[in-house]
Amino acid sequence: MNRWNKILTIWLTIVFCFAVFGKIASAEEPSIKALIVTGQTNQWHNWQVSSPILKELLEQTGLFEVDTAISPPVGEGIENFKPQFADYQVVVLDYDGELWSEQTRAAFVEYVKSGGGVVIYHSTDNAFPDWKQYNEIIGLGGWGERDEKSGPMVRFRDGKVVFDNSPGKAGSHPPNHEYQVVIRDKEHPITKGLPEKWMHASDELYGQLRGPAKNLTVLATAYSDPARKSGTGEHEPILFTINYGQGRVFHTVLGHVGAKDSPPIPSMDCVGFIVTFQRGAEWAATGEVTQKIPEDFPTATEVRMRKSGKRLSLDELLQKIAGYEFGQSRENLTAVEEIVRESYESEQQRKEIESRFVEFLRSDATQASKQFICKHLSIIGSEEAVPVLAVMLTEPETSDMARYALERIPGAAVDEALRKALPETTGKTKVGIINTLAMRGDDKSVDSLQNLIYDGDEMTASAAAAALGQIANSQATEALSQAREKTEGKLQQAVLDAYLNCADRLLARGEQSEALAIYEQLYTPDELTPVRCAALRGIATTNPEKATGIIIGILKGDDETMQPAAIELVREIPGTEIIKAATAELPNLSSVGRVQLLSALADRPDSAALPAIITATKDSEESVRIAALKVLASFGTAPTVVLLAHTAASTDGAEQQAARESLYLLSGPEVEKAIRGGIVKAEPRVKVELIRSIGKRGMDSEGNARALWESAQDSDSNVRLESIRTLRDIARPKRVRPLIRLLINAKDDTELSEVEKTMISVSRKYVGEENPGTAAILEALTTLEEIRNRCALLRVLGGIGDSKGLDALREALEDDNAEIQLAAVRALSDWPGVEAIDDLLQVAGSTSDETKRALAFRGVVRLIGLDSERSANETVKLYKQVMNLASNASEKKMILSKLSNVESFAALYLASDYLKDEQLQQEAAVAMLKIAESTRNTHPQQTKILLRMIIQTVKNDYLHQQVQDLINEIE
Amino acid sequence: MKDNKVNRRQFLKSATGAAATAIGFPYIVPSSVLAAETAPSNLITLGFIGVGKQGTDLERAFLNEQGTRVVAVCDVDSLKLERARQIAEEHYAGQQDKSTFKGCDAYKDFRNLLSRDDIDAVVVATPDHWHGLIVTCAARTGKDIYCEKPISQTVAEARQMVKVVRRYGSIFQTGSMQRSSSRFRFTCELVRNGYIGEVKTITAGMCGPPMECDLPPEPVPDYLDWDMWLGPALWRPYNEVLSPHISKDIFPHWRDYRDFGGGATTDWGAHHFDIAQWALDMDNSGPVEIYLPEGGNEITYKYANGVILTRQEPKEWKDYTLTFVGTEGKIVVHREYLNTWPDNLINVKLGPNDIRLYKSNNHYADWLQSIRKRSKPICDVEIGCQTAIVCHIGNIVYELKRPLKWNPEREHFIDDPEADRLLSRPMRSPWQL
Repeated sequence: MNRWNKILTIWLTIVFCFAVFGKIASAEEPSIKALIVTGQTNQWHNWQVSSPILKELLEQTGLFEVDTAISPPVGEGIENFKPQFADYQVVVLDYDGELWSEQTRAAFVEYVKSGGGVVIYHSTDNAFPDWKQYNEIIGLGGWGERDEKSGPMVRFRDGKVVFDNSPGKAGSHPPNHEYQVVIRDKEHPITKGLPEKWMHASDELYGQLRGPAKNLTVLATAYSDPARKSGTGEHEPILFTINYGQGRVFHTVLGHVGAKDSPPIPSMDCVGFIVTFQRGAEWAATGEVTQKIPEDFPTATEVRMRKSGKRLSLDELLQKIAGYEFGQSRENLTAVEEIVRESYESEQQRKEIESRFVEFLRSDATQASKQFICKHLSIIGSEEAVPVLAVMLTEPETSDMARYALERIPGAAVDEALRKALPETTGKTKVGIINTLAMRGDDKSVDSLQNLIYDGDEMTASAAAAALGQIANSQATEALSQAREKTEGKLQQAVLDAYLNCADRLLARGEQSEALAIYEQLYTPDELTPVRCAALRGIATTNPEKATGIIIGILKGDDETMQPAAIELVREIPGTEIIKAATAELPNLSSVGRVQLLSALADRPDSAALPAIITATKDSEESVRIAALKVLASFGTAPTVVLLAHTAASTDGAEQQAARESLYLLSGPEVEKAIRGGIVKAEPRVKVELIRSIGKRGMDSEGNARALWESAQDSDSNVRLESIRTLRDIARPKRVRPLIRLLINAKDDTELSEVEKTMISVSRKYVGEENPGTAAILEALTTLEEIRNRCALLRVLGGIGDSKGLDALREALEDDNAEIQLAAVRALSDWPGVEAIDDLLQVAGSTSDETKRALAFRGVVRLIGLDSERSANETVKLYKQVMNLASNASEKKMILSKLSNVESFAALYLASDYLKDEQLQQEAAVAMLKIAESTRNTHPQQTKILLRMIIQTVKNDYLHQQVQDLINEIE
Repeated sequence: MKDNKVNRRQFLKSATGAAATAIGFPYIVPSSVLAAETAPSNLITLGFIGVGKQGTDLERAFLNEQGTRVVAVCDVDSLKLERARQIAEEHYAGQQDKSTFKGCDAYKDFRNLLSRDDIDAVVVATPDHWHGLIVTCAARTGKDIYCEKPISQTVAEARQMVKVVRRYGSIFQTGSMQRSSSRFRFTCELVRNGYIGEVKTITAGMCGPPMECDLPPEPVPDYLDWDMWLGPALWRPYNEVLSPHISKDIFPHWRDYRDFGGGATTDWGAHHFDIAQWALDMDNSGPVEIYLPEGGNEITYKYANGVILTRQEPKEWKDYTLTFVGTEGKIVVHREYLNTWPDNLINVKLGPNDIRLYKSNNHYADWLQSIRKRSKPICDVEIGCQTAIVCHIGNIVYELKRPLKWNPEREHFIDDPEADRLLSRPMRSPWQL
């Protein structure tokens, strides 16, 4: 059965179903009054699409008379929204937005309590997280900051429903996918008679919903596969009921509609969704279900879909769209598009559709609707559509749309129609036809086109020339060749471009000599530069040898306009000859030319050019020297290593940078050896460059490391320092002991500090328990006595931040020696994790030594700002505590700046305290603005009030503007 | 109010650094690169075609690049045109060597701007449906070109652009500026050098395809040449959404509509798919199969080596990531961050024998430097073309809603002549590539 037949079958099933429902409907008039409440959904959903579908589904049963209550949009008076719940038997909620007025909320609760029915549809359970009774009515909800405080998760484990109180956020779902729904209560009126398992169409699978879950009956679950992103590995409740007072609530989490979705919506077209929704609504209204289970209900393995609403036939649709104007609903056009798409596999259907389209174009339908049809004929049309399009082609109003279709339809009949229309049209219409003939490469149109080059209308003439270039047969070539002589000005430019196009096309077809002839013809000094450049490129492609001669001529000569193009081509002509010849001209070129040629040589590394490049590194112009140094990156030889290292050591600025970068990029078998050799032999400043290159080049072999351990003991201090720095990249974490030796031997404070940094970064590379760096240092601390060295090791412990080092630091805080104490404070304030906060608070609050206090203070402020498990409110408390330890305004500013990263209302409130302080108010205001970006959503009213304080207290127009903008946005 | 938000965020970014001290106005620091390679006598004269939001952003960026001179601007919206002219004039009025500046001219028709032979290069930032025409026309007049991404509206147009740009030897930069970000370059270098083993899947966080336009007609404002705005697109009435009033500082929504743009598929595909192509060393080729997963809306590509590239719907800004999953690791890269598994990949220093990619840290300066050297910039027209093709064939699958097989060498679908019809798009007269 092909797809088309399948669709027909499904339609028949639907018709059959309607017939069944029709019977119910004819037996009695719709008797249940239902109200859909909608009008706002969050940014991931779309009530405008979902609520009409819900309405339609209810009406299809013949049971419901449906009204819809649409709330005002966000910010436009939700307080006036007062649906008359009491007038209905069932209220279907498709709403997730602003909180209703107290009166409306009370009316809703009263309605349910006194026996009203409710259907909670999909994201409606995201709504109103803080409205207690609502959450009791829906049983379970998700998102909106719901968490364990909202109630348990409802789990179906080992055949029974259990509550799970473990903490965590409420609400998650894997990306849309098809999943199986399992009925857990087979006796409930809603689910009675449904197959035990059935496949649901692609949809969100809500998981981890939480809520009071009182009087809740799980009707069906679905397994959320943990292999999917956000899958929970649980059987999540999918359909359930809640009894609230006298009221009945049916809750379905199915039926997701994305914000940008438009019908068809698979999740809502699923027969499983439709039937459970329809039955659930009836049960909520009456406590019973009278609807039959339809034949097309999904099975355990197969999804079954219905098209939302009734679907019109193609003829009905075409009738409807005949009056279509731009800007009207495209609903019916979309339906036509779908029919076209679905007919893909049936040639017969395609033919039928095409003939209806052709008929449509003959009718007096609107231009807009005909344009729509033409767009589709361009994809599915055949020669059958040509006659009607040919008529439209000659009319200026319809010519573009007709061409839109014709240009894409294959077949000689189209070309013929286009050619026939040429003499019947003028101006733009004619130009369009010429363009389409060009696109189709119609040989037979050359007869007409070659005369049109001389048409009185320049637009027509240019189009004809371009078309000939596109067709590019011998007749067209000849016509263009002649036209080149006979035209001038802009038209001639069009002819020349077409002629070049012609040559390119000849070349692509393998007609080399014909193409070359054109290029040579156009490479004359009289032509405009772009044309000459193009011609020269053509020659380079067809006859590289000849082009080489021309290019060298240009480099030697004074034809400056052609020089850039000539140099560009040095890259593209194969072989060494061009490189040799061009390189020979290097010294004679202008500095701009030298830079360009060197750049070309960089793209074509050829050792023939190397001597000239090396010479150019000594050029009088810096730009040339830099270009030459860059080229050297492609030549990995021992002499290049030496040259680049020397240059890097003896220049500065951009030139030094270029030399270094090339040194770092060199590759080849000789390079590494040359670098290692240089480290032993070269003069100190060159050694420094070579040592640095080991790190930059990532040469982390044992041999290179050994060379660095050697040079770290060099007699020259710069060589030692660079080696110590480079060891950071090269040394392994196990090699901390030799670093301790370097530390002991450090000649001065600079060297000491570099060794410390190297020890820290080498140790921090270690992944796993038992950091060998910490161990080695702790061991050394037991034997080393010199204060300088002990202090240094303590600082390194702080930088490593391994918890095994923390005790040693705490101990050192109590040391008799003041230097040791200070080193311990410094180490703690450098600590990379939050563990040191309490120690630092203690120091900052108790010491009388200002240096220690300031260090501890800075450290603790930094540590509080690091990522941690603590809640935002606890963080704010900590900041409040350190505020009391701050001794001056700049320390307080530091805290305010950190505080601005905390996303909580408490942070906003704390910051607002400092608006009163003239020294701090600007910083406080800036911090508040930043914090308010998050609290605007959680505490809009309070945020506004606090923000207004800024305007009242701080004098800064720019800030006022920012604050006002934010307040306006909140409002 | 979106503009306020952006403004405030920028302000906060600059104001809440280490310790907020001076409260000032946000100020964008100009980049100064290649100082050594430009001499004042060697100014590159620039014309800007399309000076809406992105166009004026580019204009400001290029005004701040050394060695440039903005001499002409062009737009079909006379208000935006005048604004762009003033931006240039005010910039030069505040400069020391203003005596050499002869003013910035304003054009309503790009052809008049292009016919000036004292303009070296043009920056094209019109809606997408105009790119091909303006670029080919500019190449014919010997201009070098910076063109916003995606470079074209169709596969055939992109290929034709390459032909014409090559014919005239224009130095062409595609505006896919993520290539000039060290974060994305480093990611591609890690992938190319096998640091995550063999790449298996790539996921791109971005939105979906364009739609058909259903905007209601509105009277054409007197400052706009609507027919010229439409250019090669089939006629439809004006609506302000397509060409917003100058007072609205937003990226306009023409790209949501198929006649004028390719939706997020081309908007973000020209960034993220572009980086995927770079990482896979596919700049001269492309995927071989394109499909939508069952019931899903995430366009998916398969390369000949089995790598799967797929779109993922983002929920917020942090989700606009590109994720590379390999047999031995994973990389998630975003314009603002880079995460790796194992996490020490982030510290990898490439060795001398590792593959290094073209290094550019400033997309504009890279183009200017290439113009001076007559070399290919980082995102040359061929790269722009190949990436645009990846985007367009994805949109064709969205349009036809059936899986397609692609021959990247011949640039045709396999055994689907009907899909092939969508490779080019007829143009409204008199426009023709």
